[in-house]
Amino acid sequence: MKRTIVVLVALFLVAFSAGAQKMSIENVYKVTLRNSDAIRQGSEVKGYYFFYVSDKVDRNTNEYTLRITDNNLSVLKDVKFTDSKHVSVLESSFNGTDLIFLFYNDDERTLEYQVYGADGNKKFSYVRELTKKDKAYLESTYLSMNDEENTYKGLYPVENLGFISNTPSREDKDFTFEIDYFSTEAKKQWSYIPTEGGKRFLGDYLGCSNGVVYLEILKYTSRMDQKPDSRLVGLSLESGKLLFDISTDSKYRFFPVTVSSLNNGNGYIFGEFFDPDANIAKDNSRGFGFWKVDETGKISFEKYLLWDVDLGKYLGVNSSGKIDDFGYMYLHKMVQLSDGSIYAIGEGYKKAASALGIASKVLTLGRSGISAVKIRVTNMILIKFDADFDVKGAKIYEKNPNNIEMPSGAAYVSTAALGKMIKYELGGFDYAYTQQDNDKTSFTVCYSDYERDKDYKGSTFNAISYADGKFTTDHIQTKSDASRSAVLPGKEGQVLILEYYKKDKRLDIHFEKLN
Amino acid sequence: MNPAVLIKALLFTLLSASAAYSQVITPGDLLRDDTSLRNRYLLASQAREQAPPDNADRDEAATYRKIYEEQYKDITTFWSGSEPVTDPAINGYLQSIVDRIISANPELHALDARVVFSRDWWPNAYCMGDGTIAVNAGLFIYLKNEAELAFVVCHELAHDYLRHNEKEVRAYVQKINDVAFQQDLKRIARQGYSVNRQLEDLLKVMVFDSRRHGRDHESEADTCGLRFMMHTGYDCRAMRTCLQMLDHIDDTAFYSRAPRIDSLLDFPGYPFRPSWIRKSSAIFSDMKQDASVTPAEKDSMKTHPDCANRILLFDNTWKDDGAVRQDFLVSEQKFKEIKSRFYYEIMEQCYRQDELSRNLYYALTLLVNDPGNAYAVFSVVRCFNRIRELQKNHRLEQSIDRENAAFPVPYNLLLRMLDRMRLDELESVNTAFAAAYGSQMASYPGYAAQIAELKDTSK
Repeated sequence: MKRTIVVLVALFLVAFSAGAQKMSIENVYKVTLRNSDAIRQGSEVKGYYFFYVSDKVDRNTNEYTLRITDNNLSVLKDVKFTDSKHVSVLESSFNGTDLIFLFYNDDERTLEYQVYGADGNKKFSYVRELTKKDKAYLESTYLSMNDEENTYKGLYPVENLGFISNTPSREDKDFTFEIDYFSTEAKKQWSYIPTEGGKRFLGDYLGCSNGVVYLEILKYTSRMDQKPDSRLVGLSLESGKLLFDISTDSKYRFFPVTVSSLNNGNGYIFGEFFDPDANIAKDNSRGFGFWKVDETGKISFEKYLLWDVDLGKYLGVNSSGKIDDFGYMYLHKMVQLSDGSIYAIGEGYKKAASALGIASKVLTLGRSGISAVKIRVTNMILIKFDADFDVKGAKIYEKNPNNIEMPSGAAYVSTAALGKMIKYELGGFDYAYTQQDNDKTSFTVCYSDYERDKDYKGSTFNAISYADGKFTTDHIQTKSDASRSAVLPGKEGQVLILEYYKKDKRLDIHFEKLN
Repeated sequence: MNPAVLIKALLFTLLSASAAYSQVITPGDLLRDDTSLRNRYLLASQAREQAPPDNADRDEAATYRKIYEEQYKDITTFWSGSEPVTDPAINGYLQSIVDRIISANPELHALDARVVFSRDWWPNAYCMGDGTIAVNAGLFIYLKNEAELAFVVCHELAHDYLRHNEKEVRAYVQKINDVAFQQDLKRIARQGYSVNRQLEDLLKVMVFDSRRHGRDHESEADTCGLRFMMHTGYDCRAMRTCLQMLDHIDDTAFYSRAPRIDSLLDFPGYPFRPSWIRKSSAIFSDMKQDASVTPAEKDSMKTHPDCANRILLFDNTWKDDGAVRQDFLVSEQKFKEIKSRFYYEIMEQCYRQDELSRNLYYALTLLVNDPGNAYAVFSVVRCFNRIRELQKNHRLEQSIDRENAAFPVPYNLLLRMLDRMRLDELESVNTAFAAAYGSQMASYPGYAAQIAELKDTSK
C-alpha cells in the first residue's frame, strides 16, 4: 500500500505537467486496448480517447473514465461517470464536430450511443433496447469479435452531420441487420431494417456521398440459399427514406465492396465483377470495376478492368484474378492525389489446404466445424490508376503470410465473398489504415506483420509511404514487456503505441515516427 | 518555481544582449572539467550519506533508508555526470563569492557545502541535502550582476544551514508511518471500493500540507539568505531585482532575435516547405485543459511562494543601513565572460544529453544573432545528423519536445517542423544547409566528419 501512495503522489503531480509527448495512466483497473482510439477527421488525427475502469464503487458499479486528449496527448478532458460493471465501449467515431461512443450493457440488453460535442460535454444519448433474439444474434456475430484483435467496425462518421451504425438484427424469424443514423446537429434518428424479399440479409455500409447512404445487400431466400440476390440500396441521409434498390446485375454481375469519395467529391463504388450467369457467392470474378450511381439509382459511370488484361500488364495475373504468389486481392481503400492519379490499396489472400481441417474431418468423420480449406493472407498491393481509372502501374509489397482456419463450408464461397468474410467476420487482414496529407500530395499505408528473425521474433508495424513522387517503406518492432500492446494512427507519418502493464495497472502511451 | 513558469522559461531565447565570444569557438574551446575536484566533491558527498535517526522505529528506519538511497543515487549521478562545471577558473570564481559569503557569516563556518555551476539549461538553483548546491547555467545567464548570484547562493546556503531537506524527509517519514494515516490506508484497502477516490482525497491533503511546508521553507530561506547577504557587502536590493526577473522569466530572452526557421532553412536548391509549419485546425478548442483541478488546488500545489509575495517579504525585511554595497565584488569582467561561455556550455550539454530540439533551437538562435557563427553552423549540421540517426531507428521521441502552449512560438514552429519532417527531408535540408556554409567551414575542427556522415546517410 505504501508503494501505491508514492505512485499516486507522482500521478497527482503529473497532472500538472504541461509537456505530454508520452503519457502514462496509472491505476487502470481494467483496460481493453480496443477501447482507445484515434479521433480522426478524414485521415487526419485530431486527438485520442481512452476509456477505462478507474475505480470500483460497489459490487455492481464501476467508475469509468473517458479521457480525451489532443493529438499531442495533452489531456483535454476526463469524463468520469459511474455505471453498471456490465458496461463496455464497443466502438467510437468522430465526424469532424462530434464524438460518438457505442456502449453495450450486457445485463440490461441495451446499446447506447452517446454523442459528445467538441467541448467534451454530452449532447445526446440514443438507446436501443435489444430483444433476447437480437442479443443472441449479436453475440454470435458482432460481439463475438469483441476482443483485442478485432477489426470489425460498424460505426461510421458522416462528416459534420452524424453517424451511421450497422449492427446485426433479428426480425421475427429473419436474420437481418439494422442501419441507424444518429444526427449530431439535433436529436434525430432513423433506422432501416431490410426484411422483404428474403429470409437472411447481409448488409454492408459502403459509404455516403452527396446525401445518399449506399448499402450493398445480399438477400438469401433461406439459410441454405447458395445464390444470393445482390442489391445496391440508396437511402436518404436526411430521412432514411429508400431512394433506390437496384440489382447489381448490369453488363456484368457487380459485387460492390466500398465507396471512396475522390477529389471531385463524387463517390465511386469499387467492386469485383462476374460473368452475367455467375454465382457471386461461389464463382471467380473476371475483374474489378468502378461505378458511379446517382441519388435515383442511375448508373452514370461504369468501368470494368479485366484481371489478366489490365492488371496483367504489370503483374502475373490469371483470368480468375489470381495474382502469382499473391492470391486474390481485397481492396481496402482508394486515395486520389492532387495530380489526379488514384491509388488502390489492397491485400492478398488465397485458399490453401488446412492440415488441421483435414485432420479434424478425418477424426470426426466429417462432422468437424473446421473447413479443410484455410486462408493464407499474403502481401500488400498498390495499384496506380489515372483519373479515368485506367491501370498505370502495380506493385506488391511482401510481408509474412498468416493463416486463418476457416469455418466449415468456406471452401464453397467465391473469392470475393471470402474477402469480405476475412475482413468483417474473421478480422484476418493485416492492413490497419491509410493516411493522406491535406494537400493530397502524399499518403501512408500502415499494416501489421510478424517477424521471425534470429534477432527478433514478434509483431511489427509497417508503413508504405508515398511522397515527392517516390515510395519508401519502414517498419517498427512493437514487441515489448507489456502484457498487451496496440498501435493507433498518429499525425501523418507517426503512430501511437499503447502498452498495458497488467501487473502495474499502468497504460503507457508514446509516439513513434515513421520514416 | 511555478512549473508553468519553469516550462515557459524552458525555452529560453536566453536573456540579455550579452556579447558572445568574439573569436571562433570550436568544441575544443569548451570548458574542461577538473576531474580530481569532481571526485573530491563526490567523496565528500558520500561521506555525508545519512543514516536513520536513532529514535526511528523499524518501519520509519526502512523508509529513511529508502529515501536516502534514492537521494544518494541522484547525488552520485550528478557528480559523475557532465553537469557540474569544475573548470578551475570558473569554479574558482564561484568559490570566491561563496568564500566571501561564508567568511562574512560565522554561523556558516561549520557548513560543509559544495557550491557548483551546473550546465543544465533550465533556470533553477537547488540544494541536494548533502551540502551539494547547484546553480544552473540556465539561471546564471539571466542574472545581471554578482549581487544577484550572491542572493541565489545565500538562499541555497540558507536551505542547507536550516536543514530543510532533513526536515522535509522527517516530516514525510513520520506522516507515512503515522498510526492514524496507516489506519486510514488499511480501512480504504479493506473496503475494496472507491479506493482511488479515497486515496486521492487522502493524498491531496498530504501533498498540499507538504507543499505548504515547502513554501514556508522558501520564505524562511529568503529571510535567512537576506541576513547572510547583508554581511557580504553585496547590494541586497539584488534580491528584489532577481525575484522580479524570475517573475517574468518566460518573457525574457538571452538573445534579442528569435530564429525564423522559414528563412534560416530556406535555400535556392531546397526551398523551405510551408507545410512543415502550417497550423493544423484544432477541434477541441472549447475544452478547458485540466478542468478537474480547481484554481485553489493549483495554488496549493505550488512549490514556491509567488514572486510578488517574496518581493513583499524583502520590502518588509530590508532596512537600508546606509552601508556601501556593491553589485560586483570579485570581477565584473569574469561574470560577463562566464555568461557568454555558458550559452555554449548549455548548447553542448543539450547535445550530450540528446535534448536535440533544444540543441537545434539554441544553435539557430545563435546563428541568427551572430550570422555565420561557425560553432552554430557546426551544431546545426551535427544535430540534424543525430536527429536523422535517431529517427531512422525510431528512437527520436525522447529527444524532441512536443508543441506546448507554454513554449515560445518560434520554438513551437521548430518542433512542428521536426514532427513532420520525413527522413529524406531531414537529409535534404541538412545537405542544403551544409552547402550554404561549406566554404567558410572547410577548416573547422570536426566539421568534415559531420559532412562525411551526412553524405554517407544520403547515399
